[in-house]
Amino acid sequence: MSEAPLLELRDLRVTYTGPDGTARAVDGVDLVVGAGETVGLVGESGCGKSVTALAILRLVEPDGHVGLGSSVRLEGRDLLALPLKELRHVRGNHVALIFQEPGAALNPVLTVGAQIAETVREHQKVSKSDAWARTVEMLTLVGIPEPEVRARHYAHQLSGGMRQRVLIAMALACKPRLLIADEPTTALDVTIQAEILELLADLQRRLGMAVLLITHNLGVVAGHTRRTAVMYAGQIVEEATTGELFARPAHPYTEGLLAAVPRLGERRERLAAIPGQVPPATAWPTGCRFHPRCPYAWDKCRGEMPPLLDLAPGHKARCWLVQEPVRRTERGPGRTAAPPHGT
Amino acid sequence: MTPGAAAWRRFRRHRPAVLGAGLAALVTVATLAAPVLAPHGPTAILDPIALQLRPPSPAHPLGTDALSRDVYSRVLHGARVSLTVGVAAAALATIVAGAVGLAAGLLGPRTDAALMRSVDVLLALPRLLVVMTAVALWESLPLAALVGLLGATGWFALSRLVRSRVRELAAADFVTAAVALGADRLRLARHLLPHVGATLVVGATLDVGNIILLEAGLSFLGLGVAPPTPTWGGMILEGRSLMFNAPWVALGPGVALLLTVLAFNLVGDGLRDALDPRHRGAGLA
Repeated sequence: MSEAPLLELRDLRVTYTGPDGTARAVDGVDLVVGAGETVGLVGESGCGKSVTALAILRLVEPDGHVGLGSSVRLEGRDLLALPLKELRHVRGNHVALIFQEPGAALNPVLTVGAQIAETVREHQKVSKSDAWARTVEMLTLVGIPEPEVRARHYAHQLSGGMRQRVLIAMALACKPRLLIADEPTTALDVTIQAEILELLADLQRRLGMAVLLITHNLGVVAGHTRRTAVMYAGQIVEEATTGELFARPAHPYTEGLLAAVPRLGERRERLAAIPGQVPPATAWPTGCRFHPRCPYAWDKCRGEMPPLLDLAPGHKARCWLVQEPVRRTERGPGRTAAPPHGT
Repeated sequence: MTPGAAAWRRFRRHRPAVLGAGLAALVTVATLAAPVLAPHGPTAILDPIALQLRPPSPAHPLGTDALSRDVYSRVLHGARVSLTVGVAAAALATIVAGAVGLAAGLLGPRTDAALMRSVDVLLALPRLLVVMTAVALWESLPLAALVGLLGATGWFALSRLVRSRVRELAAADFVTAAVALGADRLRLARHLLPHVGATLVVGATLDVGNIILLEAGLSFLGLGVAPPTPTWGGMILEGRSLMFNAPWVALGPGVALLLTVLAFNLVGDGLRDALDPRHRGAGLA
């Protein structure tokens, strides 16, 4: 084994205890992000993507609890065992996080420049004027025109796309080695989405950082990531190189997600959708968690949870079909899926 | 337009608040310039025989009291005690309320519970009785002690308001974002302070009126700043027995007290509407 990967999640579990019982929001996630790599994490709302992102920087506490056997290693160091002071040094400096709502993630009563400069000074011993110079430099880097002027503006004076650029500038101000982007484009107009994704890809090339791109949109993942992990009900259900995943989806959930992506030049009465919805995290189904919505499910799926099974080098899926592929051809879902069991 | 400019515009459109601000400014100027504006010294006994209990006249616009002192001059000088105590004690109470509120909201559930349960207990104590009891510790009450006492008993309710605002904001994305980028609690407090600023300013302004009334009440009961220093409460006390023969002795300081407290309350209301448009028209608990 060579040196440790940049980020390595092992058996990450996060639970929230509430009046409805214990929610196992993230339930045994293993994930590796190499230095400079871009990895996609895909899934519907409520399947644990964002909680995974927050748990990496221990931002789920005190409401949520990270499992005792879990580990989050950044270059070999377990972040979950780190004292708070050192953890703060990691946050923003080695690992940065950007959020879905660029409007809400900026403090409305401070100028955006002040917020960026503050982050710089939190991690680097620099003078105020140097921090300000760095702020302007970062705003220039993320393609904001008139950066000196914009730095003195408040969040409400900027457009959604601008705000996301500011947040990216803030996140990258200390040149982190890993950027976790949690639905960075979801709240933006489609045209702006593409711009922001291009910007992220460009910055990644220039700064040589790794990106964990979290999205519910497979289209976002397609052009921008090397590897993709698909999450469902708190678990990773499939992982492969992005090309392989799109060409040969193995898990019925992935298949469903791909079928739900609208394509140009294709006439359809209705968009294909996966029937049903993600069950609440307090009551995951027994057996395979996808079985109530799965068109192929048989008895084994209802009784026994499949492990992540290897299909090909680097391609894993949490589905019994990997072992019994013949069942797929027997009962193909097609575009007019048979009504699923249990819903 | 910056948020500050927008708030200023809303404040200017609020007529009662502008009236209040004008009155408060007038009282402040009167306080600062009392030695220049007052025709006589506040304790000067002018002519015990000829000028005892004279009704208002051009020479003595508010009349004279039983010791032939000029009521107008005494009201002007009395404003100094009222305003000094009101502003200083309100400032003290506001600083404590801000610190306690931020600490309770940011330092975790245990600190929060300890501080807020203590506040519950403190709120159950009647303020006037506590202050009256404490005042008895001094033979002659210094102004600083009065400020300290009124300030120390004035922050409870406001600290709860600040705390709840902080708790509300602690769940906001921008707080999580700041933490995700390595912010410590001190920086979070700096991030949140401008957000609770409005609550603090409004609370402080409304408290000025309250404290001025309390101070007058203490003086009226003979427990405030000792005579011969003129205080409005003390003057009303002196005028009480003369109410039917020489009503001007009590009316002068009484009306001054009424207008001053009204002024600060109007400004407080206007500020609340200007700084927090969501709460327009709603009352402060």
